[in-house]
Amino acid sequence: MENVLLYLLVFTLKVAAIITLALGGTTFMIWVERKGAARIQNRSGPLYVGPWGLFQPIADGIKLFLKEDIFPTCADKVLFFIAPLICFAPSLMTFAVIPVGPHVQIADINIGIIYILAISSLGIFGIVMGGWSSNNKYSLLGGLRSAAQMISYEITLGLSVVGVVVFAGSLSLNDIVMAQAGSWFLGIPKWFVIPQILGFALFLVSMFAETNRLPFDLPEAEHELVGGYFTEYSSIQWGLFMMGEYVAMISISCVMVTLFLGGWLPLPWIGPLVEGLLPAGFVLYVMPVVWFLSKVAFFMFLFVWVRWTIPRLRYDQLMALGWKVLIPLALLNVIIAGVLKTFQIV
Amino acid sequence: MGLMTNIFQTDILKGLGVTIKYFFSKPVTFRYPEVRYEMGERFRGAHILKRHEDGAERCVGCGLCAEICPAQAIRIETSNGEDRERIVDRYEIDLGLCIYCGFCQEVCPVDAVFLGKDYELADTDPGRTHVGKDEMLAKGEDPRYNHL
Repeated sequence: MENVLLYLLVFTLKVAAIITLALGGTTFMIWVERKGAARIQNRSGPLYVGPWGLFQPIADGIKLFLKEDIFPTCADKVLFFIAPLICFAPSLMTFAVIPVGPHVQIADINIGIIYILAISSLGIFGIVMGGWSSNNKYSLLGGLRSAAQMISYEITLGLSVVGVVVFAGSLSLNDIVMAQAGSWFLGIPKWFVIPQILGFALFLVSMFAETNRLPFDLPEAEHELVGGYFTEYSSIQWGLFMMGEYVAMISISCVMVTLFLGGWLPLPWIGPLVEGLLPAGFVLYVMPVVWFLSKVAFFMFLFVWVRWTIPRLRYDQLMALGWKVLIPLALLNVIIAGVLKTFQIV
Repeated sequence: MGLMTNIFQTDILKGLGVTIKYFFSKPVTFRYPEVRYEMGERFRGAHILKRHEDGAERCVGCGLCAEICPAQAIRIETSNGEDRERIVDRYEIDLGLCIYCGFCQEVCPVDAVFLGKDYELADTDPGRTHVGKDEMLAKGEDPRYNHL
């Protein structure tokens, strides 16, 4: 009995820690986005709320909570209400299987990567429902575009993961990370990004498409569709959509790091150098999380960086890229992975 | 576009290079209420009135500025003092009418009136665009507005 209670306690603490990390990361990410956008455009960005404007997202969140919920006339009230929740919840659920560190993982299930692919596609239901129930043509168009885009790019995403699974020989994310331990020669880490460079590139592109980020943000294209699927949303319901988007960015970056960049493993030559200077317990429990987060941080910055560099694709270009370029390349990548693995080349 | 450019999308990398360059450059934003903009030497803002070294007002109330003002924004009222000296009772400029041409500054025979550097002239009350003598004299003492 006591063991069960202890297990539950540890489990709850883990969940609390991961969710805090995810939501705290979201808040921080909104700040990074605004600051990064500002600096790339030679502006200053948030400055006044807290040091360097760090508390600006919190102030914005409080403002969103205090605002009025507006339901448009003739909107489907039930769907309109649950759409943001459906969009937000799955993006948080992804974190359940991501190994942030060797001992920091809520659940190590043996089909982790399939779980992630399944859960991350659920968020699209929220977007489509939000677009449909708003009783607004722009919202509907946004929702439809979103659905088409997700279907097109989910295939690429799934296929680019196949290569990694072939190399690791397991669907469990923990096993995938452990399979990337060690180094080849000259201290080049044994991360899957090296043999799977094509898969990495494909995952990178479809990662942007899956999170509705520029250059693939057609579902919410402000200049064409007002605000896309959340045109009619206000207050915290809008906030949930936005937070869902940011949490999805973080979670897909975590997946990216786990699959291709060795998860919480340090670089083979920098790792021992830094860890030699620190106490053993710190190295065992804290440093993996630090390595993991620093890798994730790079991709989070990449999201902002790319957003202010590349313009939005046209809708036909989006579909042409997805079906005529990425999917054939993804199939090719599967073949490459199979050949490399079968003949033990890598 | 060459084949290699097409395959490796080097243009995207080039674009990323441009944006990261701007990311690390200094923002051009001016934090206005905290940092005030330094106006140029020949900037023509709200008027100031100058004094002699001994503190006496330079303006003798000749009325030339009021005469030349194209917008008729200046109003001067004078009276005679004890030793028949002319005293300036009122010297009022309607900054809402003023076109900041600088004729008053140019025509003044005693170098009393100048266009200063004050440009924060907005007010919530349209009736408060008039500035009087005391205010302009005070601005003449203030190094923020007086650039001469």
